Amino acid sequence: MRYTNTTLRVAGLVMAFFWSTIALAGAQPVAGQKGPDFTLNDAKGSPYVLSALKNHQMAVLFFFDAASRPSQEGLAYLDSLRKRFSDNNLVVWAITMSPSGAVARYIKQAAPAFPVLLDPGAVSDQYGAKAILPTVCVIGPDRKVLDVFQGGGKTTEVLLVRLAERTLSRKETLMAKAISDTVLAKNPDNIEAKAVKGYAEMKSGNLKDAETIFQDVAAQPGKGEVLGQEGLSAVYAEKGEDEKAMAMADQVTRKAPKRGFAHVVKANVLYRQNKKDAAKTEFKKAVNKPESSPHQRAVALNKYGRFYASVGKHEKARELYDQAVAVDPYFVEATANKGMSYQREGQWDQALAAYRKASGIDTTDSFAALLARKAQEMIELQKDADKRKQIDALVKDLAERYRNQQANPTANEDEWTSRPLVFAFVDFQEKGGLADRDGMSTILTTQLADHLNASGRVKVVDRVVLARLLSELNLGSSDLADPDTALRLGRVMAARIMGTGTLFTMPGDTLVNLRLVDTETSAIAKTLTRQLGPESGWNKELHRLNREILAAIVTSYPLQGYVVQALGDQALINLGADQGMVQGTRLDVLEETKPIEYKGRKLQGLPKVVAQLEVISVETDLCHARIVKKERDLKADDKVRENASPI
Amino acid sequence: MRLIIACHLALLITGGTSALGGTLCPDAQKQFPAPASEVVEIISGWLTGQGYSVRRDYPRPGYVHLAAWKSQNEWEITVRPQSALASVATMIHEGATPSIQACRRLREYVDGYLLGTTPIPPPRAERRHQTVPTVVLDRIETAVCIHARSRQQEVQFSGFVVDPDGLVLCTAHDLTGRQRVTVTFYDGVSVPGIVARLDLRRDLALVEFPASARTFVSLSSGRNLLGMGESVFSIGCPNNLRGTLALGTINGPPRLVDDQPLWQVEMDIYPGSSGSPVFDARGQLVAMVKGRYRGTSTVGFLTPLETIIAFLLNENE
Repeated sequence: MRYTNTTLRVAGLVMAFFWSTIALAGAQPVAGQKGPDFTLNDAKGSPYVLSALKNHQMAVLFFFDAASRPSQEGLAYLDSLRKRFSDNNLVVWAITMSPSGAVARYIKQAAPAFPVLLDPGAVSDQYGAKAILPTVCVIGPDRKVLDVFQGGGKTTEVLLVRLAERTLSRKETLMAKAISDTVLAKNPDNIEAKAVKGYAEMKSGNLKDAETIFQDVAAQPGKGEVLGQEGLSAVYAEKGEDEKAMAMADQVTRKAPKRGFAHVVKANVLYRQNKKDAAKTEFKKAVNKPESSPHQRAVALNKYGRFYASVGKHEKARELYDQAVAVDPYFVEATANKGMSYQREGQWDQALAAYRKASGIDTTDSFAALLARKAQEMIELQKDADKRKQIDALVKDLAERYRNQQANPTANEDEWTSRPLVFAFVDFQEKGGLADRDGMSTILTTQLADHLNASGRVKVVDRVVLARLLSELNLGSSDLADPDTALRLGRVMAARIMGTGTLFTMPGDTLVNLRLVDTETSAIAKTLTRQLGPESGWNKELHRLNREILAAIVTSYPLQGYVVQALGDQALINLGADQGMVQGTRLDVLEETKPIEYKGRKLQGLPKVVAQLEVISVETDLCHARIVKKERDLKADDKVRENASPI
Repeated sequence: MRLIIACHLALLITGGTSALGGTLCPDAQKQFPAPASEVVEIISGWLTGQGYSVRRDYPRPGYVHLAAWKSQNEWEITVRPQSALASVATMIHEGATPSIQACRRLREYVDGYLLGTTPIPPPRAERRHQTVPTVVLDRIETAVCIHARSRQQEVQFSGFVVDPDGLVLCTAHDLTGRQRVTVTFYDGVSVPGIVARLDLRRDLALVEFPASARTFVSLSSGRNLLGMGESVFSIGCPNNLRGTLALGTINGPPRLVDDQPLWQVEMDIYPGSSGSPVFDARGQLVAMVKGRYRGTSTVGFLTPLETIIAFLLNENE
């Protein structure tokens, strides 16, 4: 009896001890949960607050023992990366419960590039980082825990590979490559690290290097073969070698039926070949397979969402976008796409919230920022009753005219003087593959319209008016593909030029084909075909496109007007900001040459340039010009024309 | 005195948007052949790339004002349209780096960017297979590396022997008069040298060294007129690599930059290439590498022989 009693008591003690350990380690947050907030000081006493971090910053909380070498290994790698790359969006905090002496020794010896925070114990407790060190917790947007790693050695490699993947989805390809290289220097056989490097090369457009890397990976038996072939199939698809890509992806799905990414590759190829149903089946398979890295999973979910959005099922699409964000919050395309699906349904508030969220996570994402700005304008417009009424009236009037097939009345006796050059953009048709981003053509036309308007030379018809007119007339994008419809529409809006075209998502590139059509003559004034290249270079390319459009307009539609008054070395011209006059524009003063009579026929020569002017100030509908050069004195009613030659 | 006027002018132009007493960049009236919106993007892209914080505001319709700051450097830039397809930028710089140099860098970057986006597909693939004529290879020992200490940092560039009794011709930027430099020959022997003559406008300098060289470049047998598309060869010291050969093609007519004629060349030009002699296929001196367009490493400028001769004859234009 006595014996049993003691046993029970001991058992009770053991239980109590056991419970207490559970209580200590049991609170460890798992991926998806919100990380507990904390404030810790570093050795100098500066406070660090977890909740003060911004959404675009990824935080690596590295709980370690300052006195034990093995627990510092991962830190040393992170430190050397931190010292080489100034990536403000990657925050590393080392947290330790070690006594201050050991911490001071560590700081002195390692001189780390990140803060070492002193934890009395509570934070390590909350993060379940007491029993096993190091414990590493990666915190993403909204303080959500993304990954938890425990232990050093092999786990350090796993941690670094995951960090490389996350860095890659933040589009920091250089850093991702550097992290993979760090792992490979430690363990040259780490195939996952090699694969990440391959994807990083692919993302930066070095398909050849990516191919070499994946071939190298595929040469290793077992998992290496699968990972390598998966990467190769993606490279082939990106190169446009569809058959090779499909064959390779087939091999992967046969060998590793649980992996999902090869299905995404297949789906992309099938979609591009216009086999939409087959593509859908593959997308479905891809998102249901258990084995994929978070980024690959997010890509699959996002694409599947894009597929649903393309057939108008926005509810289902948003569900998938949400899942994509849950596994990889740094894949901001999914968040922005969610906004676009709301926008397409006219739910501007929700759209704006999503765009803001996307640009909060990736502050460099200019597309999300642009969409947010436009959504904001739309919301403000909806609140502005007067403006809305104005647009309603205008749209009604235009719709009426369109139905009656009337052009905008132009009562003008002066044939020579230029009228305001109005430009209308119809959304481009999206063709080819399914891009990661939804609404590319909207982004493109909006951006171009902004640039063109900024020049002051042309006026672009307000998107809102155009969108409202289209819905009033019940015209969809397929109707606008018909050039006659587009032209009629252009005429009622008094737009001299209609910009329309297609946006091709090709393997590895995006091609824009822009046609500028003159609505009066229905002639194509200019066609421009441009490869837009990687997304990071889009802004540059759009500016260049803008420059080319402007140059084409200035050449084909030079401003024409009259000298109203000649005042000494200046002249007053009947062209102002309304007509597209910009300060600094050079004007030629023309004089018709007398026709020459030759064998009964009158031969008319080109007009002669008798003076050159430079516009020095512009008012609403007139401008003042300085006479730069003259062969004779100017007089009223002299004709002037914009000099289109480059400077 | 000129500086004071420049400051007043700067304040007048920015309309008193700032009380910054920096230096107004020269050629403020020189136009950029691109719409203002694009030039603003290019400039702010450069500033951000250099680590500046940039703030943008719109003082008047069409005008864009950029304020940028980084540790001890500040920029105040106003871009305004000059017709629909061109713009001008008033740039004021203040800081640790000499303003003239900073201004030049920024302007060269914007020019280079605009040049780089103009579609001229260079015939690069074929050029790689070209071989270097032996007469050019024979000149390899005439090129030297020059090391100098400018205000804070060590600079390194190239030059070539023009007189076996101890004269080296090189570029003048980053140098000051009577400055001490080190001249390193192809065989690795280094001798001290001193800047004997400096012409910053032509960007040419002569360095004297107290030794005799075995080989030198004969200026009298040089050629002045180059053909478009002609192949040229330079030997220099890019990134401190002695005797590096670069092949190039003249791909533009001579341009006037700051009143000096320059050939435009498509050639791999790296930091340190400045001052390299450029030969034609017969090994005759035709020009000297002046530098590259910032933002590119394949578009560069050559100082023609004509300018070199004028400098040596000490002609005043």
